[in-house]
Amino acid sequence: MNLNHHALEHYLTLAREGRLTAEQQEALLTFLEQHPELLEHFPPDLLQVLPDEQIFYRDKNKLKKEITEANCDYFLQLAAEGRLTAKRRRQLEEFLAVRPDLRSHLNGYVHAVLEPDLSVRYPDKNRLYRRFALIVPLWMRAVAAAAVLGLAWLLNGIPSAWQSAEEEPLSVSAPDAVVDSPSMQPVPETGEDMPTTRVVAVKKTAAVRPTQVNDLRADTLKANPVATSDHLLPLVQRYIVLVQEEGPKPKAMAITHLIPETVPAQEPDRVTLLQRVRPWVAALLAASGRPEMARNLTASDKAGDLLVIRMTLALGPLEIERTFLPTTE
Amino acid sequence: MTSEQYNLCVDLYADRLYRFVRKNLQHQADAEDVVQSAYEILWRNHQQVAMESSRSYLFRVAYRLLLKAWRRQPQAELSDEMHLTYHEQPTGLKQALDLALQTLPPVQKSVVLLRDYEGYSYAEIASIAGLSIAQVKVYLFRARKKLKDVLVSLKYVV
Repeated sequence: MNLNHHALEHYLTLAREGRLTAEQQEALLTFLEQHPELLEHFPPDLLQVLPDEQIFYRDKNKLKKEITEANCDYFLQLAAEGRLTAKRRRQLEEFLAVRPDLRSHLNGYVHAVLEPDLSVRYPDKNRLYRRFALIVPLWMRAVAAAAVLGLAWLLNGIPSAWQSAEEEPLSVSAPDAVVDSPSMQPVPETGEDMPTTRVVAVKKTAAVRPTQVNDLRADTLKANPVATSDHLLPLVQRYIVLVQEEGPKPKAMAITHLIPETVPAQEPDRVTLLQRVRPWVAALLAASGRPEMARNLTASDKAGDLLVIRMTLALGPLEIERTFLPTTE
Repeated sequence: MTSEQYNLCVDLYADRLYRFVRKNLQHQADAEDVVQSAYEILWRNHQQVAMESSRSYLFRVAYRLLLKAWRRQPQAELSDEMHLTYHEQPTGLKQALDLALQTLPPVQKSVVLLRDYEGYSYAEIASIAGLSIAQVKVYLFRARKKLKDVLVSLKYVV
């Protein structure tokens, strides 16, 4: 092995440990004679072999798991969380007795453990719940619908709207009987300058004519104010589905939303409905990445006209699907 | 998980999840959206999620949503070294701690909240936040030290 500047350190280490051969020791001394400037960096007893007991690691304390100023934060944190063993607690107390100025840091860690504010609660859990309606076979729905209609007929007589050529459509779910829908233009009851809307059914059933259901309910409510919608037409399924019309084919936004209060079903026109459900529709839009539309919806009725609102109501065992489409006028 | 168990999850965890998210996002509406989205995702996958793991699942989903929300925030707000700037002097220890919490980088804040609010273990936090256990320990250590330094510097503890 040729001795040079790079190998010098290795040679010196061997020399301190008494592991140099006579030949290597001679080479080392020769090299140092040729480079006397290096001697300034080494102690005079350079080639003196140290006994084993004089060889030790200087920073041994850094390796120990004792509590020192350098690592005390770790143990103070454990103490604040109550996770120190009894032995460590004693060690920490001994350490703090020596360094009382660090006791404030322990207090700081104790107070830095967070506690939840239990008064903060999710504002509206009804938005998160899922509820389900009983799925009733089609023939049972038809029978039940006929029974309800018959009962209402007995109570209120024949609804005048039955005799009208213009029918307000309202569909009863019948997946196998989708047909073109009639339409009408109800006058908003709010008296406000609302855009004219058109109510269009997307489905109808052969068992019950949609208009019969709707007009019967309206007449019943008018004749008997006590019979509120809660009695006659409870919204068992309180979901709203927003449908965004993009292109020729409506694109469902795949959102269902649980309305935290019952929307009175005796107010079927779209404007009134929008007013009542606007906060939740806005929340839906915001949640679906349409915050701009949500803001517009809360600011005015215009943005709401861009939406198709599809509601699923329940009339006893019947599921009634109602779709509110915006008018193009 | 059945639908009844899902609704039970709403009762049990909605408030806790909301507190966690609310501390991580400045705006209440954003926090509500995150919680609602987390439950929507839970509902979509409720048949694959066991009731026992629903809480971790919700927090994991919420944390992912928080990551997205943080990415939308200006980069300045995500700086690893955030400094406490009080517009007004905090009036008490709790307020000082709240303000100090807001100075933590998002990941540190989440880790310390999961630890203190929910009592999650290092391993559970690592699973929720997609970190190693060693990273969780480091983040937690740094977060606590910063909180402590603020409280000590403001002389709220002696």
